[in-house]
Parts: sequence; structure tokens; C-alpha cells
Amino acid sequence: MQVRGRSVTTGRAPVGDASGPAAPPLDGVPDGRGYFGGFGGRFVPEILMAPLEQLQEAYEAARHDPAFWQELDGLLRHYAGRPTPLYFAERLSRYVGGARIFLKREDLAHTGAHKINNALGQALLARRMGKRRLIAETGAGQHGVATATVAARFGMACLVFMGAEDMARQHLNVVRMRLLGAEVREVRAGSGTLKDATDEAMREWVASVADTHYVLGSAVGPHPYPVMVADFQSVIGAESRRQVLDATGRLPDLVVACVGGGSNAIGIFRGFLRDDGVRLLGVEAGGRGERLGEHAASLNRGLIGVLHGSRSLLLQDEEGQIAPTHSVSAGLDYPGVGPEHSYLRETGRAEYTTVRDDEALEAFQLLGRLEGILPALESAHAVAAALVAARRMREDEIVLVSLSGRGDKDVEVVAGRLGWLPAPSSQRTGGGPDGR
Amino acid sequence: MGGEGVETGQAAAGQGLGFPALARSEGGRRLAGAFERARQEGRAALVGYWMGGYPDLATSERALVHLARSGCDVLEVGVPFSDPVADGPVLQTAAAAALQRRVSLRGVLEMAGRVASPPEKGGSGVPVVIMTYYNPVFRMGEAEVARAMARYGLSGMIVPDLPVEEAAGLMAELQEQGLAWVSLAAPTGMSRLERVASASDGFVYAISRPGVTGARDDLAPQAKELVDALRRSTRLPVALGFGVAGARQAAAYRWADGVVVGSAFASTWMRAGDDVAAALEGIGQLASSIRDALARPAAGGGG
Repeated sequence: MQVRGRSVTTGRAPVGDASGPAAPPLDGVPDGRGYFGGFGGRFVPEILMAPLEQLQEAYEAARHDPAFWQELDGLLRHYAGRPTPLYFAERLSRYVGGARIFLKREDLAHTGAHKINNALGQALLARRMGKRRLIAETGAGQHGVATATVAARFGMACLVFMGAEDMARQHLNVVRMRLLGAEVREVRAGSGTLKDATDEAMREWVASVADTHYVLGSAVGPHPYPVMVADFQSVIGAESRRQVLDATGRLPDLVVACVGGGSNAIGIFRGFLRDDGVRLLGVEAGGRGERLGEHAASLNRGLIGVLHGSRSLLLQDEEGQIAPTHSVSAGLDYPGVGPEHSYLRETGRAEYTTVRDDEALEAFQLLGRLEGILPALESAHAVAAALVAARRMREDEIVLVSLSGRGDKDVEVVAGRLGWLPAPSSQRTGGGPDGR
Repeated sequence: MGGEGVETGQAAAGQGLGFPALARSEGGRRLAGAFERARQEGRAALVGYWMGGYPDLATSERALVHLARSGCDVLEVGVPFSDPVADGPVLQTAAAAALQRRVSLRGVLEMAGRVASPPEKGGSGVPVVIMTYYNPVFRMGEAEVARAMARYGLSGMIVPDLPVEEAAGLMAELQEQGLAWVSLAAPTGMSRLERVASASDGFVYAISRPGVTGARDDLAPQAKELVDALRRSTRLPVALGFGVAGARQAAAYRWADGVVVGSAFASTWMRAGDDVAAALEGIGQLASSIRDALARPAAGGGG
């Protein structure tokens, strides 16, 4: 059965029988030490080791507690608006002239991105652990907004770290966080982006671990974060799988998602890991060039290393110093990637490609004009790669795209790129006259 | 709170053999020996930390040698890293400045080797440990790093983001080269003290409070409990660090086998601006005053 131009839902609970994670990881990963093959682990200051052991125990207990998942299920439905629709992008598909393109509409979840799935799960866990305060890092601001949102919902204090550059380019989300009652702390160190916000969040956590839970926003970090975040995001994959089957009677041929840290990608991939006929494609930020510092393509161009608590592929120089990154999208502007993605790449279960700034900007506009949907710049990377792939595929084939977030936060950046805005005053140097 | 009349390393060191007898490597013996000498002199040892390559490689060498001449019994040489998650603002600034000058791990090890050399060769003559985040070590290769450290006459290594669970490979390489792995112990990890302490060699580095490096005005309430618990797990000397700003706190912590001071030296230096002579004098005076404060009152006598 073909469904055109309207959403398809099954009316069933978003997380299956609501007695565990919506879609499980592959067998045997991670192992007891948090390793996906040679990636993962727990590389943190000693101060955090016992708290991480406690977090792991608390999560294991929650993971086997149907009441936990039932409560989360209720919140995902009634508060976050799940299940999100699966939408057949008919005009976009026709424009491409190849495979049929379906969009998983995480942009329609409460707060405008997939980040709410993980934030709700971790907030419930934090409450179980008796923590009264949440901290988070954010790049594009979507995870910060999601964390501020759940903190408000559960009556917890909230502190969000955000790089100075990101605060400027994602200002709308800064305002949203403050309106939700969160404190947003500017991080000026380093490049003033997601990496530096994460550094600072970890420092704060080390100092306040007794009463504070760190809501890590992506499938990165020390064990158990990568598997826990993927569990919470696997609702995307479980829903998509069901929805595609309901809509078309078959599985997709290709699943595409953008990868910064990789949480929306791992979330949608989870629904199809065991379906060998389904190709999985992760899309990293190709930025403006191939030299170190011009992109954020850890999986495509990184070396194995250790950052923010786990061993994974990492953009770094020959000395092991973490390299600067660039992407037009703040959410992908990160030198590391979740260990499970490094593992999926190594085993060949998933492939990873890059999309440049200009290609993502083009896809951003195209989706707006053809389908009336403005995607987040992060998600636009997935759309761009999907267009390229779909063009080479047959009309009876199906491409599923994770539309991980909406583009409201990015309109100023895009307008700037299109020359529709006066140059922001921050780009004019201060100080007195320079004598010509 | 107060440390009057508490047990010192005297009993902890056991049957008169002293700390070095507990070491597992040549480097560990050198480090333990420095604590033993301090104990014999009736004081806690002073461990001085300085960022290699700050403000530049040559000047950091001078600073380190000067710290030893001003009273440091052991030197910790930091390796600058782009993302020092265990460090507060002062050492972040020092690391960033060193990296601006493209300081390398190998360059720091070589410089640290000159610092470790005997005074007649212009060095300090005190044992030197390297404090580095893990990724630069991983990139250069654990075995290669250990070999280079041995070649340069260094004594051991502390890695703030490498818990013992992930350190087996590096520990083996260090052991093979006669070098000490020095564990960190934290007040948030009382359940882990046995595991952490038994892995350590030379001494154990006790973190006085949850948080990052940096001088603080107050005393850490959990420090005493942590060190007491550590002494039930190990007879190695225990050095207390994170937040020791100056002589007043050092005096309050002198019941430990040693104290570690880092950020306070760096911020003293930074306050001197570009005047290297004044900066050297400043850190030397601070080291001397802390060293004096670490002397324990004679048994039965008042301070």
C-alpha cells in the first residue's frame, strides 16, 4: 500500500511493548566494560569512576524495570508527541527521479528535534537516582533546549554549557533555554564550540557529581552513555521500521542520517541493524574542505584516539592534540564520534560519507521549496546525501531519511549565507579608527 | 579537620625499611625515596607541578629547576593538551600558551630529562614524574613513550583521564622500563581505593576534593578521611593535591606524606607578567614558604 503525502502511524505505543529499549543493540556489544569491539570504554578522571559505576547500576536496574519504560512511553507520547510521523516526500522523490524518499519527522517532536527522547530518558533516570540538578553541553542548542525542557518538567535545576561561537550562531536557542529557566553558561575556551562546551560540562560534573546528573546529549562519552543514549534514541528506529512496513509493506533499502556525535543516526540505525538487506549510511560534515580544521568528518578522516571518555575515531594532529573542526551546522561541529559508529564502520555494517556546507545549504533550501519543510542544517546533511543516493536507485526502492530536527534555529545562518542579512555587528572589529 | 597528633607516615612505612622498600620499580624507589627523606626530616614532602612548555620550553625548564632548588622534593611535569578536562582555568591557560608554541610530548619529555639530571649537570637532581592526558601517549605509542621516559631518566607517570581499568597496557610498558605508574585516588571513589592503591607505585596521588585543579581558599573536608582510608589500603606515601594554594593550607595538610602544588605556582608566575626574573623569584618564595609550613611539630611539642 502506498501512502502519499500524509503521515502514517500505527496507533500503537511508540516503544513496542514498553518493557525495554525500543530496539536492542547487536548481540555482544557493548561488552561489560563498555566496548564495541575496540571502541568505547571509560576514560575519565578517577573522581568520576565510582559515580559512573553507580550510573551504570542505576541504568541496568531501570533497563530491566517495565515501570521505567512505561513511564517514559507515556511521556514520549503525551509530552513529546510521539510517535512522530513518517512522511513520503513525493515531490522531492519526483524531483530526484529515483528511489522513493521517506522522512522520519523528528523535527515534529516537542522542542523540535530528536534530542527530547534522550533528555526525557535521562531525566527519569536522574530522578530515580535522587539527583536534583541537570547539566548539559550543547552545540546547536537543541540538546540544551531539550535538557532545559525536561528540567522544567521535573522541577530540577539546569545548567547548560555552550560555546561562545555557538551562542552567537544559534542565539534563538539560547533565548529558549533561558525562558525555560535554565542557566546558559558561555564557554570561551578553545574554539568556542561543542567540544569546548563538553570539556566544561565534564569539569562541572567532576565538581558536582554528588547531586548532579550530566545529561550527555549524544551517543558519546564514557560507558554507559553511548549505549544508554542509543537505547533512548532507538525509539526512532523502532517506529520507523514499523511505519515503513505499514506504509509500503517492505523495509527500506537505505537508511540515511547525519552524524555529529551520532545519536539520531544510531537511534534510527538500531531499528535495522539485523536486517542485512538494509544499507545504513551516516553523513558527516564535510565543511569547506578536506584539510584538518576545515571539516568535522571523524569517521571518514579521523584516527583512533581518546576524548571525552571513550576510545573512538577522532580528528587530531600527529601529536594527539584534538584538531579544530568546522561545519556550518553547530551540531555536527565536533571532532569525535560515538564508539558504536566507529564499530559499525569497522565491521562494515554501516557506511559513512561526507556532505559539504554548500551541499547542505542547497538541500536545506530544496526541502523547503519542494516540501514546505525547513530542516535543521544538521539534518540537511542527511537530506543532501539521500538525494545523491536516491538518484542512483530504482523507483521501486526506498530511502528512509532521519530528519533529526527543524530549521528555525538556522534561518539566520542561512540568510547570512544567502546575503539576506546585514553583516552581524560581532564581525566588525571593535576599537578605534585604524588610520585607514 | 585539624591534623594535630594524627598518625604520620612513620607507622605507615612499616618496619623501619621506609617507603622505598615498597616500590616495584627503580622509578618508584626514587619517588618513594624523596618522601622517605622528607619523613626522616620530620616534614611532609613538597611535590611541585609545572606545565612543560609554559611559557616556553626553555623557561619551563628554568622554572622547574628553580622549584626544586626552592624546596620541592619531587617535580611533576605537565604535558600540555588541547582538552584538559581535569584542569581549572589557570592550568588551562598555561596549556593553551604552551600549545601556541607547538610544544610536543617528546619535547617535554626531553626537557623533563634535563630537569631530572643532577645539579652538576644543571638539573634539579630530584625525581620527575610526567603528568599527561592519555591521547598524546596513545598517539605516540605507550611503549615508545615509556622507552623515551627511561632514556631521559624520568621516574614515573600520572594520567588524569586513564583509570586503572584501562591502564594495564601502559602500566606494563612503564614497569618494563623501570618506571612508576602513580594512581590517583578520589574522595568520590572510596569503594575503589584498594584497586587504585594496589596498582600504584612510588606514591599515591590523593585528590583532596571533587573538582578540577586550581588553588582554593578553604580546606577540603574529605581530605583527611580519604588519606586515612588510603593508609588502610596501602603503605605507600600519600600526597594530597588539588586546591593547595599556599603555606596556610600546606600546614593544615602536613599530616599527609606530601602535598602537591601546581596552579598556585602558575598563577604566581602569571601575576609577574613578562618579567621572568621576578616570576622565578615569586615561585621560589612560594615554594620555600610552603616547604617551611610542611615541617611537623616535634613530638609532644607545640607548633
